[in-house]
Amino acid sequence: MDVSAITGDAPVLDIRALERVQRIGGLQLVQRMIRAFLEHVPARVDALLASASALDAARAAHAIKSSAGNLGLERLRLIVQEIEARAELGDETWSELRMYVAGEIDAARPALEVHLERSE
Amino acid sequence: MKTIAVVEDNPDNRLLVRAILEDRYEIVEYGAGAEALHGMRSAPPDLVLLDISLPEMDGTDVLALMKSDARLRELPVVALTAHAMAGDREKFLAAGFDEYVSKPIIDESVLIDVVARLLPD
Repeated sequence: MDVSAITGDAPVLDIRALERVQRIGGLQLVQRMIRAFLEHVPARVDALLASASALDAARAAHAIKSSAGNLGLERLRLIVQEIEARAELGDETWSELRMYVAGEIDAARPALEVHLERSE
Repeated sequence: MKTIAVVEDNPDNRLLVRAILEDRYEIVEYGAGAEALHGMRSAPPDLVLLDISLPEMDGTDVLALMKSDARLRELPVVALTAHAMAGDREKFLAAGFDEYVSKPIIDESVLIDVVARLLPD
């Protein structure tokens, strides 16, 4: 499967999302949200990979989509949004597409960790 | 200070909502519907921000149980959802929610304004 048809030229991390979070709650909020994401996303990916039904997959993808949107993880957000949409439509290719999620998170991790090391 | 219950399973969403509203309101967080119903029956808030996609018991189920409880049925409830489909707002208002805010929260003033309108001074 060619995921570039889904992600287009979207960035791994759209920095504008983190700038928005920083404006609301400072660098401390940015870092707390990144830590919360990195702590909780593995279990959400596990749930997605373990999903036996389209309904379970849609729910798991939806949960990841929300965090990806908050943090500006655009490629990840587009992929899980597509998994959710396909699962809800009964398109069984959601199952194949979920194999790309962990890789997108691995790609995003260094970009997020840069912000954990920043200081104001 | 008025109290807002945030019912949301996603920790980073709870952090964000708290940061937006905590200067103006007392925030109480719940990560699941059953926990929220239990907590709110003990200490009813002034308003509820209710995620739709909760595990086990989703937001519309939580709302239905709130509406069947005399202690909770009059509380204003705002739906939070990352679905963001055309016609969502009308759908959630018809289901009994008082307002609807889509996620991610791009413009925090939308959430602040919705809450202020439902919780006037």
